[in-house]
Amino acid sequence: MREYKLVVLGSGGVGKSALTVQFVQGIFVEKYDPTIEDSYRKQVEAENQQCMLEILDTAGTEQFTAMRDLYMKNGQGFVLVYSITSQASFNDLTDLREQILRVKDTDDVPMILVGNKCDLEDERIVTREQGEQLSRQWHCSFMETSARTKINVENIFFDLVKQINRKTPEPKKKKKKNSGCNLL
Amino acid sequence: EAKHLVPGNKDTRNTYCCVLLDQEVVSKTHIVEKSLSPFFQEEFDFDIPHNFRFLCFYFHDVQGDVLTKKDHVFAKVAVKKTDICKYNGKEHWFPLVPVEGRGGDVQGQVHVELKFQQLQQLLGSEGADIHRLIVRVPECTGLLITGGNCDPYVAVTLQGTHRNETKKTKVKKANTNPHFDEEFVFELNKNNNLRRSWFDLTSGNEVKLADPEHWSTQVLNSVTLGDEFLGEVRIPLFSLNGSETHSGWYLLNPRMGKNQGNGSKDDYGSVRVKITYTKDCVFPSHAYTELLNSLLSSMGTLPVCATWPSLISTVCGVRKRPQVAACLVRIFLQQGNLTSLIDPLVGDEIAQTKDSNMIFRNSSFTSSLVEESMRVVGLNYLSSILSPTLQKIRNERKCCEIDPNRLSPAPASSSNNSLSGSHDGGGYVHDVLSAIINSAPQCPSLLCEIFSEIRKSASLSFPDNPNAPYSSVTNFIFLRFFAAALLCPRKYKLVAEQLDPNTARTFTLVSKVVQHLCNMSMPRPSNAVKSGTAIQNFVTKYVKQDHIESVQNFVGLISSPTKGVDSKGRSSSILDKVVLKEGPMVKRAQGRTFLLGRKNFKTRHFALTNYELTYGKRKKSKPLCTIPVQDIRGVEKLQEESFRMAYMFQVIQPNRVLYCQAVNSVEQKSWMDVLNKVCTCNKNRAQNYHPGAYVQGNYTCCGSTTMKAPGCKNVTALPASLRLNIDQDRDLERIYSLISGSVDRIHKLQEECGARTVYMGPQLIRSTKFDSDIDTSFDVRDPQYMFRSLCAILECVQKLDHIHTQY
Repeated sequence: MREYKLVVLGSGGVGKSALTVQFVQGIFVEKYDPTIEDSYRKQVEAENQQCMLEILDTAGTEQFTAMRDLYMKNGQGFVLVYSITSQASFNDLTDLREQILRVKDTDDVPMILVGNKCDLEDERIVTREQGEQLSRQWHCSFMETSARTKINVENIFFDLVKQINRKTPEPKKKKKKNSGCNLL
Repeated sequence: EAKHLVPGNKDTRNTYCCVLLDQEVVSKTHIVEKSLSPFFQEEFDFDIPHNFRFLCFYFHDVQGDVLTKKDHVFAKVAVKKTDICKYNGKEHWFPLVPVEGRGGDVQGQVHVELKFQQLQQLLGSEGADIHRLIVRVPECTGLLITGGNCDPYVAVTLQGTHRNETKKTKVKKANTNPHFDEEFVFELNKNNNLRRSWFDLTSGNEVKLADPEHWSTQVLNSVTLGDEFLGEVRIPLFSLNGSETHSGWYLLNPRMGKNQGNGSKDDYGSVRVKITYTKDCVFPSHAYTELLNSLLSSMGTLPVCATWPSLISTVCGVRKRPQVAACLVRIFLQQGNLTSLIDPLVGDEIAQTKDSNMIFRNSSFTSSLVEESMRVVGLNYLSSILSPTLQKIRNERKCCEIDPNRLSPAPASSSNNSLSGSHDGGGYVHDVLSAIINSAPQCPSLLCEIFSEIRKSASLSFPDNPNAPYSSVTNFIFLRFFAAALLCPRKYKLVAEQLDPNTARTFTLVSKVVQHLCNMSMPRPSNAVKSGTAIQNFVTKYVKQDHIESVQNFVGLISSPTKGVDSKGRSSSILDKVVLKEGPMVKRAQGRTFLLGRKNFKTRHFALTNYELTYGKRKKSKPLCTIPVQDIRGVEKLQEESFRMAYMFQVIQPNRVLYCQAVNSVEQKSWMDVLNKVCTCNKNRAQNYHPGAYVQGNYTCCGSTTMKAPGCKNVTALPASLRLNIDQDRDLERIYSLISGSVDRIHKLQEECGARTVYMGPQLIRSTKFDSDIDTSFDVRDPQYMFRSLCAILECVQKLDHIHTQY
């Protein structure tokens, strides 16, 4: 079974843990508990294949940026989350993405831009168009989600798996070569 | 981190990386074993003590155990000082180049004088002139020490089209700044059509010349220093002017034509580095009076968003926010006014937050200020609480793990013994928690005042929610302080060196549990929490109800306003002994008058507190010698010639002098700075001193034979500002240069303020306009006040601009 290392990044309080827990355990975490780092594993079927997703839920707090470097080095796909109710959380993502690209030293990294809390339409500050425009600029996918009402939560992770498959197809297992003769 | 390193003998490498200023090792990373893409993640922050040409990163490979240890450099990157600005403040992948033995790098300068002479031919019938080139080599400075010594000489080569002519100076033994003062005369044959000359330097006994064929069409002069190549200078003769004497200092260069060409097609890997280089030109205090006064007075008199600190942070942008916050906290702290900076901003930010869950979850200017205050004010508090347990964890070096996914597969087979290989760290968690919970009386009163303001504002804004004041405080004291310090103990100076992966993992786990427990201890718990995670199970196993209550108590205590009032008992803690700097140095036995032997020099662990300078055999061991701060009459450099040792300085005491050798020039400067700082107020400061040491019965500098002979040189005058507060001026200068780097953003913000006042439509503007450049979208309130403050800032910056241009 192929393993996928996914990393969820974004500012504090945008709902990274809520999205992750909703996806892995199917429940909505009402409480806002700041995360240091939590890792989850979930087996899913994507693109007709069994996959093991290892999802790393990270800290949004600035103090822990030192850890990000390591997450970025090890991760294969990245979920960049902002909250549609906070302009600052949207702005912060530009730096995050730049850091990922620099660590990976390439322009093509499986990545998805996610505008969370789309159930809070009344408090919306970042428009859908802004999100779409940014994702076009970045050449990556974009979704608005709600961990509370379970909108698009699974699609984030499936989309990312698809991207990783496209970028790095699974190395085919080497067939054992039959040697011509055996020395007994 | 580095990647794609070239494998060594064993297909892999044990690598560490050194940071060098020119040839001097300034700091080293830890060793990453068995990897061709080592991940170091280390940060070095230092003041640069002298001018330099290259910032270099050398990669060393270590093989074998303690006895058979082999350590060699296999790759490097050299960044020219003039190129640093290109990479400043950004991460960059630098390609590595191989290091061929030594001699890849070159250091130092040579002083050369050239003169042409034209003499009338007296004898020959043709009457042709004789042309002569006179080369004088007065001296060299700062040559490189190779293989432990440097016996330089200079070889001057005049290269003609047909032949080379080389002349050498005498060898100067063991001298990196040799005075040669020799003159050479070369007869020039006019037919040779001399155009250029070059110099080429090596050290030792044999002369190595640059390949003459390479330069067959050029005529060059060469200066060579001995056996080992130390550097060369090539001076094209055609550039010299007629009969005038040409005199100049030349920087030595690597041998030409040798390193080029080969190796360019091979990949030796690359290294990712982020260099941040700042150079500040600090003027005397009075230049900053206006800036300082405006910063201080704007707090409290203007709407919060129009105060100077808040505007400066807005125009400098998110990336520079931590820097702005750090400078401002230090400035206001020095002025004894920290709460006047933080309180209004805290109140404003909480009032702007709509969702009680979101108080201080995002990083903002206010949160940066509070974080920085905790770091500056609470560092001793932090270390007194956490150090004992951290020390224990590091000594025991147990492998802790609670995440089943991360446990090594071996124990999984025996389910009843699933934690056999590792230990779950319950004891450590208990120690850390009880230390924190019982520490409320030690929490610095300044922090208590800040926390109490935070709690007050939160309960004002969210009167019905008991969680809001609680979590707004814990988001700082736990999340951004204790948990952060446990995760990055080096950044908080809790440990000095890099941790091994197991210990680091234990620290991470303790940090997670501490934060998790704090999350659980909300006054009004909600039902749905993340469940089933390993950490959850762990916490429920170890944490009892009374823990939760004590955490709540602790938070209450440190944020209660009454605590702040009786700060008398605690403010005395400022007078506690604080370690200002510590580390190993070599020192000479004190009071010795003769016997210049190596034996007299011993490595000791030095520690400087605000009371005394001590040294002992190792860290925390009983001090062998204690020098009270008031006995330090001065700190001065010591001439290298005294003991033929670099990086030496002297601590002048009433009756004797302590000679110390720091490990490198960065450390030397840093020790001297901090020592000077603690003793500036001493009344008995020395007026003069001996730049040399007292060796074998006399001073190497002036020859005085009595040890107590009055010094032969006046002490280095401390800059007037150092005596007061050089740090504050430096911070103010930093603030100035941060603002002056964002002047165009000030203008943009002014335009926006203008637009708001005229059209009165903040909502309209926001929704119609989406600026693709995110950095230029501002949060504008009270535009009229903001506009006025911005004008005042610009005016103040322009005045400082003027001082800078004049200088």
